[in-house]
Amino acid sequence: MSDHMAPRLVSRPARVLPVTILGVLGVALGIAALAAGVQRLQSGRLPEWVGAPLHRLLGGSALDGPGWSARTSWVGFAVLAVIAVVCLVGCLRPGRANGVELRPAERRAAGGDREVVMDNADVEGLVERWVRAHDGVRSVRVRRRGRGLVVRVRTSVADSELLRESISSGAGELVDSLSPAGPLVVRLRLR
Amino acid sequence: MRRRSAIANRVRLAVVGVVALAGAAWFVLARLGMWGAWGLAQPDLSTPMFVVPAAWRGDRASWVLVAVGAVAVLLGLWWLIRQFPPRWRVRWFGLESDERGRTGLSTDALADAVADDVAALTGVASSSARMFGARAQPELLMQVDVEDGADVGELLGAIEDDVLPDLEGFLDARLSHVGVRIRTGARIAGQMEYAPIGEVVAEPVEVPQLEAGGPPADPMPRPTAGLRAGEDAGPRTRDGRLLR
Repeated sequence: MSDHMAPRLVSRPARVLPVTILGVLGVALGIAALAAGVQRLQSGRLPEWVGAPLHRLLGGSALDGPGWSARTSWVGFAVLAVIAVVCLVGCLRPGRANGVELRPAERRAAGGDREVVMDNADVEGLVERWVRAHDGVRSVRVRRRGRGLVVRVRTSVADSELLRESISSGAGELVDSLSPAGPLVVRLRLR
Repeated sequence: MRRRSAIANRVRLAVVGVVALAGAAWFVLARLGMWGAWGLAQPDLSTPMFVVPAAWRGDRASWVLVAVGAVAVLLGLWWLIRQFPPRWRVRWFGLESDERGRTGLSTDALADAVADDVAALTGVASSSARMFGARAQPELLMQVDVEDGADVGELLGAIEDDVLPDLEGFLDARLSHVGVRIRTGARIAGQMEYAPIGEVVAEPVEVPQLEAGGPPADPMPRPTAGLRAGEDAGPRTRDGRLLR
């Protein structure tokens, strides 16, 4: 846990979307259950908008569950299994960090609590623009994958060895000049 | 602070996932008759999956429904509210306080001054800053838009050597945290487009004068419409002489 109030600049996904979906579902189902319960207390039976779908699904009383072989049971538990897998994968997968931490020599000398960051999109854009400026490059796409930077280049040059060598070493130097804190290897795919 | 919310969200997802997985596993194992094989209570597959006892079919079932609904609404609202990031930004740093009143400093004004200092550095197109913490323990977050060819190391060195010491001197406190986000691809007004590293920049070539005595009095080319075709036709100098 950081000991400062300012938010950290490099972070992994906070799983806001799946938890928000679960929260909205919880509120919606809770309001429906509250309304149905209150109406049942007043009139002695479930409201039509709850009772009718439940009867259709369960094939009998709304207070008795479906049979073990009923299609509703299988579908219900299959949905439950999917929700379980999605939640557990969302919980266990670390997710992609939104940026690259830089550690230039000046910062090391200064000491103190310093965080210098470049967003993935900015690193990708920098390398992409650098590669695009080369003669013979038809299109280029750069994406950060883990500890690497994957550079996909389409070329109009028949013998692309020189271009490969030039881009590969130059892009590596460009990334190194940023002084990333961890390893950031450039992988070139030339077609 | 954001990190705490991320950990809590992972715990929430884990709880929901484990409960859902347990429910699905219970159904599959019961259908396969595994509970009985393991010496545990095997549900009777010829009956409904669950039956509400007769004593609970009256108002109790309604109260259970109301209670479950209330818990779900409160839990859902709590989860939703927790998704909003907390605002830790401060508006004022207190400088002096006595019986006559307090003297404070707007952090926006301070941050703007820092941003202006950073924007004046080489290779920087624009900059913004924001202060956190307290005057005695200040924190700074900056966003610096740089051109592609900027030397990031040199820029950070200039920030460390020139900008931050000024701020610390003014506040009379050491910055407890500094965060800098660098954005690339910015264009500085009036500057050439980024050229890749290693590209050869052409040296200015001196164009020799075609004739001594400086530029011609009339720099415009002479009209060629009335010239005869043949040996007189061809490229000409600015003052109309044929180039051989």
